[in-house]
Amino acid sequence: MYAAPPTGMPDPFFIHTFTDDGVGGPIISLNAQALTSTAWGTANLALFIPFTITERHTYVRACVCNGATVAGNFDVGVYRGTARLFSTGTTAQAGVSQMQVVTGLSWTLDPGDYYLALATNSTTATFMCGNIASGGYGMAVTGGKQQTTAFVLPNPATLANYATVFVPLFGIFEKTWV
Amino acid sequence: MSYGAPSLERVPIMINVSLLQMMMEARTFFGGGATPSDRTWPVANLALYLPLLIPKKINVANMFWQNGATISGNVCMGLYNEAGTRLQQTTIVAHAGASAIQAPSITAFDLPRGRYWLGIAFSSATATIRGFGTSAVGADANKWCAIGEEALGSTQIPTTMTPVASARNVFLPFIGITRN
Repeated sequence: MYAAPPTGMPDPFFIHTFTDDGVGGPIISLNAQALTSTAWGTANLALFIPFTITERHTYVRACVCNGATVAGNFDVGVYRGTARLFSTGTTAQAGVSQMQVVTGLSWTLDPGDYYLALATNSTTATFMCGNIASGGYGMAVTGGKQQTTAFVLPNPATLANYATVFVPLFGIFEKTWV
Repeated sequence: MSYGAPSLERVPIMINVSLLQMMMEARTFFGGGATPSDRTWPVANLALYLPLLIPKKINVANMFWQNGATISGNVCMGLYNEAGTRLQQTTIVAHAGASAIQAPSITAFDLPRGRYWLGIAFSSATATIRGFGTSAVGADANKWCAIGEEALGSTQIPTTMTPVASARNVFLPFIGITRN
């Protein structure tokens, strides 16, 4: 079957919650603020942030941006709707105030709309986050979803409206050199 | 002859590191619209590779960077395809013109829609370039912007780039291209 060649802006090599294909940039722009180290607050909460790609890519790294306190375990995944396509599985959070990288992945995604998902089983684990004024505002800005009691990342997810006042920086990268 | 739908995608005349085509997140991660300032090149013969996204075919007229106040050594800049193969480069030129845009003469070339890397290397660890050096994300801002780096044996940027994770936490040089 013929498929028209892709047009327009190509997808970035690094899809994360603050790229143009994520939502963090607009949040930061709206609030004119830097990212801050923010405690997760609710153990086993999963956040789902939408992104879109227009071509097929394979991602080999999942990355989170740790804050000043590390604790517990996290799980990064990719969903299409409520279906979990890939996840890192439970990973001990390690390394304060730096990017933590999960290696050994081969996540191939076709063009479409997805969610990047992050969950942690710790209330005190911190991530670098863009903070938003209120839960309802957050949902409106992000188009994101969330699920409580969702560690490790479940399949399928039961998605509720985003009611969290921050957006963590995390994502997936096509190259091996982070 | 087949029909080709017209592309309405706009491409700026000048594409630099503060625009979406290179790294939209830089506006967030590198000070949120901060003014570029003089940055000393971190290591002699170090190459940095920055992503470049081109939404439709353009004709590239120049590759450029903006110098800082301290001029020293030589510079080489190049363009790589998605796989890391060098497509174009400037000659190795003397770093020249304090605080000025430096754009070595090249032959204009077509660049199709696609994903690329801009590479640049300085021979001197005292040379300065305008750039961004404050971060809103804490450490590892370069990594979050998909910037790679490579220690070279000379200023000549390689035919195939072999980047590693950038050890520069926050170092975004002001470089780019212009089109005809």
